[in-house]
Amino acid sequence: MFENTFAAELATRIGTTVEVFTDNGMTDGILSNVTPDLVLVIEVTTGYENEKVYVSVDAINYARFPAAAV
Amino acid sequence: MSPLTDRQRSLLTLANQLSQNLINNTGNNSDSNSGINTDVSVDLPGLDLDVDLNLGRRRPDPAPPAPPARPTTMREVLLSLVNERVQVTTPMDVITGTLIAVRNDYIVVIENSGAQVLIRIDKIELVSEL
Repeated sequence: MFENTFAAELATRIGTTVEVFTDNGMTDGILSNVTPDLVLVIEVTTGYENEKVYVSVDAINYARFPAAAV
Repeated sequence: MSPLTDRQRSLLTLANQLSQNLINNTGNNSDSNSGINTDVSVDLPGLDLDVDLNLGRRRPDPAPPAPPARPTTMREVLLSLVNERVQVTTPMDVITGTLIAVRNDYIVVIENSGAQVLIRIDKIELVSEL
């Protein structure tokens, strides 16, 4: 049901909405890419360009997937 | 009274020996804690009689039951809480919900809203059962 590692589980959820929490804040958007060390979240903004945010996997405390996105 | 048959006489003799044996053993049993504790074995042709008497002597207390194993790692604690309502504290937030899975380096909690939260075990500071 769930992958053995955090990064592997995130990789199965690419394309879904995610909220990524670190010690210093939160990033929410579309989970776009996952490697064993890095997570790419595209923040959806009202402007023309979406902002890419790279988050170190080691820095992530937890990731929340809202019910509608699961 | 009719005379005893050979078989009855033999049985009576053995019964007499058995009672003597009991008395002798009781007298020699000075090292026991209290009461009588002796084993008597009589072998009759066609009849095996094995008597183990334990009269009034205290048996050694059975070993106390081993205490339940206490978890030694955060992961073991989490494994014991699967399917329970938990409160998990991380450096920034507290997550409350039902713990549904524990994997190598993360756990999965379902919040009341239905959201799934993947929490890295390394980042967990506190966990408690609700």
